Amino acid sequence: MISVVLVDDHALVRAGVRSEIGDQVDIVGEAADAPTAVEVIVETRPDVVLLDVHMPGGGGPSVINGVVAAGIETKFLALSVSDAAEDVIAVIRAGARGYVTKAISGADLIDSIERIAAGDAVFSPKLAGFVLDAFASAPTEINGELDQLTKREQEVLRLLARGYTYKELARRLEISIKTVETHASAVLRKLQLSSRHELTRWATSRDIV
Amino acid sequence: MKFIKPNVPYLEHEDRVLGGVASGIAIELGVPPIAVRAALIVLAVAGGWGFTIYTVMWGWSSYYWYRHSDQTPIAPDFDDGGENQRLLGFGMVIVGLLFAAQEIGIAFVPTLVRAASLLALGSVVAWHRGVFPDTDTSRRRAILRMAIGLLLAVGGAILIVASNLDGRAAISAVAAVLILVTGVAVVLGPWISRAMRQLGDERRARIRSEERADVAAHIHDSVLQTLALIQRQSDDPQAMVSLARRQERDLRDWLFADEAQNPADSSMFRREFTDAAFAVEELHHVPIEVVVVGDCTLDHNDRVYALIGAAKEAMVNASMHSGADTIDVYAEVTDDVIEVFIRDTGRGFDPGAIPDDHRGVTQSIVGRMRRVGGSTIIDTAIDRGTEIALTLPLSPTNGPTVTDTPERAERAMQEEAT
Repeated sequence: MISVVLVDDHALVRAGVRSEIGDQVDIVGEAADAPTAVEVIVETRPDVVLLDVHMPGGGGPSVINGVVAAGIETKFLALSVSDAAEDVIAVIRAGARGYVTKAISGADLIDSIERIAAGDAVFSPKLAGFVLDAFASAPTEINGELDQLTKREQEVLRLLARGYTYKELARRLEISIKTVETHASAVLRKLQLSSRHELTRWATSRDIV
Repeated sequence: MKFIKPNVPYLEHEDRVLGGVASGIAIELGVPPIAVRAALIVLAVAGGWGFTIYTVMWGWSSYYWYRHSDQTPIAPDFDDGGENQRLLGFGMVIVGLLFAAQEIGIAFVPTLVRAASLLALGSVVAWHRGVFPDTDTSRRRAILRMAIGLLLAVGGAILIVASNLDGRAAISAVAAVLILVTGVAVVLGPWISRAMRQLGDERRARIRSEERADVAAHIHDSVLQTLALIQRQSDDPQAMVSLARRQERDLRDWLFADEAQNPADSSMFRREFTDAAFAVEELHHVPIEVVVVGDCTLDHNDRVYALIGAAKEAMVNASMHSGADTIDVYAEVTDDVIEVFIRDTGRGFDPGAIPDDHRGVTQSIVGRMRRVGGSTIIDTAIDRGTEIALTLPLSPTNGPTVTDTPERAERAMQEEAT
């Protein structure tokens, strides 16, 4: 069973998530703020952390930074009520492997957790849209080769934004699901490693950095 | 317009040579401005009193209001960086001239006159504007102004004292004044700073309580009402979900009011498009997930409005006929094209056998797009869901002949074949 830590400052949300997925994953810990979250994660070493974006004592990104600084390897799935572009991009850039909103169904959440635990990226249509937006706002001549989304990656992101699942996407593009996952992970990595001038400016203009 | 008129002449903007003092006095006394100006000049030559009177009157008057031609009183304002700053400049120049004239020996300017003008200028600088401005920067500026004004005024006072004494006596008098001022500052300083802090605290508390009242009013008006409605409709889950979603959107709009209130937004594609989707969702109670990438101004572009209309039609169709739980809508705006995709994973339909009552709607999507030079691709099959792709080239030169990129048309056909 996948071990999971819940990080959210609202007890009601934690209880709700626990009751919805508690029998299918092993919830080993909960935390209501960033410092506690880091402690709990370091102590329990879960496979996946469900991470709220806004919390007292620092948001999702500060939890990720704290855990990385402690040398613990775990995977983060951002779960937030906010779907503002700045929150999403900030937490992804910090290292989260995916983003879903709290309106997600229990089954979909389980599916996302399993995917994250297996090392994949989880793209909701919203996240795909934000990432496309972030990369699209940069004129190509400034960017290095590495910072540019390939045509195929753009295509994958577009279909994700249109609501395609990985399976539907693979069928549509006549590629394997594994290849779709590779593209999605490549996009995430580019977003995280990217120090591109334009992306930084985009982030700054939205008060992310 | 009625306002409390101070017992001093106005500065007259309309007919003025320098600060408008002379014409202000002239209007007050009911004599021609030229007479007042002549009198001032005569007094200025005879011992410099004209300068002093002018400076003092100018400083005094500018405490209060300017009178504009439309009779609207305008509060003097240093921070506007314009008129008043220039007037202050004039004042400085005049005082400077007084001192220069004395030094060079062109005219004899009594010490008392020079000292008085210095005092007047100082007080104008210090007190011209409110002492407790709101923002940090203007507060810093106010403190700087106070300091400069105080320096000028104290200089004037020292000059008066020193002119009547000589040598050691003058120095000790100055020292006495400084000691007195320091003493008063030491005694009153803490009290003044506490009073100022209290003033700030009170203002902050007031702002906070106003904000709280604002939040409370909003919560009452919308959130509590919605909760009440939800309780009443607890037997209709769809209506409950739709109420909750509407409330959520409303709260979001309110929380991020800065963006929402931006007047430019209402003329932007993103805003207009998401509003259209929300309207459909509200009517048909099927959640619509909208993702928009890029944005452009609408500029009353009928073609873009037609695209939004067609997309709305497609969303309505999906809501009413597909039976899907949610509808995914994706719009992408680039420099030369807007693409919109409306997708559901519902029951789909056979494109070759559209029922008559649906054909009209389909036509209103396809036909509408064609009329504005766009194109429509309907990708659907029984039990395979539906995706409608709308493409609108933005540059009119592309013309109505452009139907679609061959690549996508081909892909859609493949899709149908499988």
